[in-house]
Amino acid sequence: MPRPKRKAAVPTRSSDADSSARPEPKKPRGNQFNRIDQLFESYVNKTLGLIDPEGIEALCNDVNVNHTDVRMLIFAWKMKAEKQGYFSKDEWRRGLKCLGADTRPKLKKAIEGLDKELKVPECFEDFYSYAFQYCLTEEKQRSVDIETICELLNIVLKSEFPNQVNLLVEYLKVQNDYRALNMDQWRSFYRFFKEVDFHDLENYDSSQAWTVIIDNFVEWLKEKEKN
Amino acid sequence: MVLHKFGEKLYSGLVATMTGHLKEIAKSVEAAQGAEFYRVESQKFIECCDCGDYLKKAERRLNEEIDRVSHYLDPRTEKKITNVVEKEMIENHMLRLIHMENSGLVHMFSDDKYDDLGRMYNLFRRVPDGLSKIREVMTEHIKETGKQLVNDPERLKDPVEFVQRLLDEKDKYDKIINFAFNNDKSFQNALNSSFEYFINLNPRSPEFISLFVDDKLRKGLKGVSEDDVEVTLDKVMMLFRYLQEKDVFEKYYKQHLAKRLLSGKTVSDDAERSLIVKLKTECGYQFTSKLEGMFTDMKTSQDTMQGFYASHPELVDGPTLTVQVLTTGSWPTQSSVTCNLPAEMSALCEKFRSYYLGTHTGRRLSWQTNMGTADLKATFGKGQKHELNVSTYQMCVLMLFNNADRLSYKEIEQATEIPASDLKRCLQSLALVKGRNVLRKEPMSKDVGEDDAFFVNDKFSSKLYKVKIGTVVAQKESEPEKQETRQRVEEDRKPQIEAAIVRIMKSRKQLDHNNLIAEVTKQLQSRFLANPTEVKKRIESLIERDFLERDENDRKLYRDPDVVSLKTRFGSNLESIDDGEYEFVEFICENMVSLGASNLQSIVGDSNILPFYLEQGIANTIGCLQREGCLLRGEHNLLGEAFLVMASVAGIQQQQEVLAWLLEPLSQEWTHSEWQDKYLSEPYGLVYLFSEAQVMWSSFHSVTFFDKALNRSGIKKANWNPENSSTPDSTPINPILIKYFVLSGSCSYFPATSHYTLSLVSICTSNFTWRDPSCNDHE
Repeated sequence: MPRPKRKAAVPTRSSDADSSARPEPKKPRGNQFNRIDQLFESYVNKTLGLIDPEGIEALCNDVNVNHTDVRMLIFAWKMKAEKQGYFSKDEWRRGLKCLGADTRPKLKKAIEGLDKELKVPECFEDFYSYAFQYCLTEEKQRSVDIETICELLNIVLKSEFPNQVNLLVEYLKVQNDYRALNMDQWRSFYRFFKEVDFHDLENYDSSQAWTVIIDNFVEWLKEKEKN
Repeated sequence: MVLHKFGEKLYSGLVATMTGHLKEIAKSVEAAQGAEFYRVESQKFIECCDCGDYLKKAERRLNEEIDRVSHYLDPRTEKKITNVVEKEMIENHMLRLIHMENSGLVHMFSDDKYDDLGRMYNLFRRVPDGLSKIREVMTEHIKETGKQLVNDPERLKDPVEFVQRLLDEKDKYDKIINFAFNNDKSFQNALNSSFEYFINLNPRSPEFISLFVDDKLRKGLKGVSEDDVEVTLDKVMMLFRYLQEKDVFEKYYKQHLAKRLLSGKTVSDDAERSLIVKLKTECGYQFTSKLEGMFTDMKTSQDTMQGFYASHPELVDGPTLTVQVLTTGSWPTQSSVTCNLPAEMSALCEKFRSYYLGTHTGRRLSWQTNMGTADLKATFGKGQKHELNVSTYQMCVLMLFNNADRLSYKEIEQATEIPASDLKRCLQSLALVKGRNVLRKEPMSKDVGEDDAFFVNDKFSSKLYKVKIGTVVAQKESEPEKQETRQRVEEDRKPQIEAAIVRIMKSRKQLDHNNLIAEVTKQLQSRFLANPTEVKKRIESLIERDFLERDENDRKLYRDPDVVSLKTRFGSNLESIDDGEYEFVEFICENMVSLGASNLQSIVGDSNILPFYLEQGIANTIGCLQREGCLLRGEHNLLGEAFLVMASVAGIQQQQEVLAWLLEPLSQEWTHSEWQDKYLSEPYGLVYLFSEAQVMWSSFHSVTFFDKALNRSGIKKANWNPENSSTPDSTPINPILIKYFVLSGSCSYFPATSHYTLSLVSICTSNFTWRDPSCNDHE
């Protein structure tokens, strides 16, 4: 997960309206509830009432996972964390309930095994979009710079599509048309990898609804193959 | 007995059958023999005849057979026999005939062999596929010659020649289709599509066609009868229709028209207007509204100059100034340039500026010194006197020599502050062109260098008293200029594509990618051919800005986003007053057309009070969009209504202000002296007004709009008195409105179809029942 920026003042999160289809989880049993909250307290920044980057760093140390590891990103996704680098109490509760962890050792084990969570394709799509969303740190930001995109691609897609990711990252670094990409373009990458066989680019049809950057990428691939 | 009767019948039946059979056999034998006969004969002919001769022979044989059948055989056999001839003599040798060396179809085209072509047409149309083969070859041939023509560098040197050649080609084939191909529609269509193909191969075609028109309107049509002028203009329109990039043509046409108008070099005002009417008919009012604005400016400037000299009688003896005041939106954009005018001129110009700004407050004037001309009276060394017609730049340079005999390039540059490239060109035209070299340059090299010195050429001589040295003629653009124009055209296309996409999606709600591209292309094709990649880019841009959504599951499907989602996007911003509102209003202004009125209303419905400067911003934007012809008919009113609804939340005061702002553009138009002269100076004026459909419609819309607005605002009609109105700007409008509509009530010249007039009259007599003293004479 890219290093989150430090912010001077952060608005406190009120209890967020959970707009997902998932119903409000049942209130956990007394003890479990307390333990989850206690864990929260052990990392929280007292003045803010949130876990801040420092707290996250501490967490990473405890669970022995690097903060740039994809599993931390998956963890944030499980929590539906809205702001990069910060976890609110509700988000924490949601995440840990999801993972079924209420002690530090359980949490460590759960986080370690998080990469298996993505095996289901529907889940993966959701996570994939979330990863982009998570990088939109500024108010009203709609696009993410190319460098961050490349890092994100490596973190999120490399295990499944190593070759393709390498080529795409190479292309993104040399092209000049775009300096930042939006959600629509981000999404198109995953779909492209899933649907199009890189060995069979002759059949690629640029009059289809692929994004322009994908069209250009394919052009570049074809050129590359010729040489 | 029975047998006998039957026998008879049998017998005659048998005979009949036998005869029938015999005839059949005879026919077949005949046919078979005929086929063989013709096969052999055609083979013989084709070896030794050229195409034309062969066709003659084939025609003769065919006619002979038809003749014979009519004399000797059952007429029902004609078809069968002619079929044989057709097959053997024509069908089997079609391709060979067409492609015959030195005499085939292509040669017939080149040499205008109407007879042979006509013969081929008549013969080939008898066999299946015959005509389509001719058509194919014709199409290919036209495309080939066209392609060569269009890519030939020699031809491209002279745009006027180039276009003339295109017209000649078209004429040629029109004649062929007329004389030889029986005006066959399918051939006409083939001709049109071939022309369309190769004309658009050359990206400079739009520019060249405009230059051709420029040449004709500048001098080519001098002394030509009105009918012939129309013929030429119609031919130009025909070429124009073939163009895919009509917006490029528009840009160039505008530039060239501007030069023609400003230099006063148009052969005939009527011809100019006639062409504009034709363009309007072809492309709609949007295409030509700016062009018409240019003519209006010229006319208005004349009036202004009269007014200026009337109010400054002391200036009559000095140099005569003629100013053309150009409205920025209508004329091609020019960057303002520096230029120091000679003292006499700058004083005069200042006087004009104060006069003009005195009568038109709130406007800004900037002198376009790169577009003017001057007439100078000059006396040379030996006493020869001439009148020189020069550009403004040239005038500035020449006037310097009133105070100095010798000037270096640097001194000239410093004194005039004319940009270097323009200055060099200017000095070249003054010193290095034979017969026009009023200046002398040292050294006598071909180019103007920074260390050169200039003198008046005392030995200058010309047979003419009036010498023209100006350089304001439309010419083929240089490479960098061409790039710039092309770039501007591309930039202009982007919002047009976006507006088309948004409009289509608003009406279809949901559409897949390929159909969207097809629809957009179709909507835009009267202006230019939309590039699918560019359309895709615009789609992506619109997705990013939330005007469009991609379907979650089917990435090929686009959706018009829910207005609610737009609302939620801004809803939170509206809670925090300052920043949120400003951005929100910015968004509205930027996307006014795309959003559309209904969205505007629903988004803004329950907003807070908008700061007044932001309201003005919106009103100005609506006004601008209207003037630039960016709004569809009625959109202006819808937007205005939405805007009023927004303002109505804020109370009566703001509403009145908003009304005043919305009235402002109308007020300007209706108080314009030209408009008033045209429509209000005499009763018949209104007849003209109401007979112009465009004006009628917009007047109708405007009046109904304000009627609704007034009703909604609850401003009591009886109380609405110009003196009491809190918005002084709106006062000029009311007397005009009164005159306008009261007069209309008293005129009975209107055609029955103008039920608008009646409703206009009823609205206005009900609203404006208070009296304005100046109207008493008309009531």
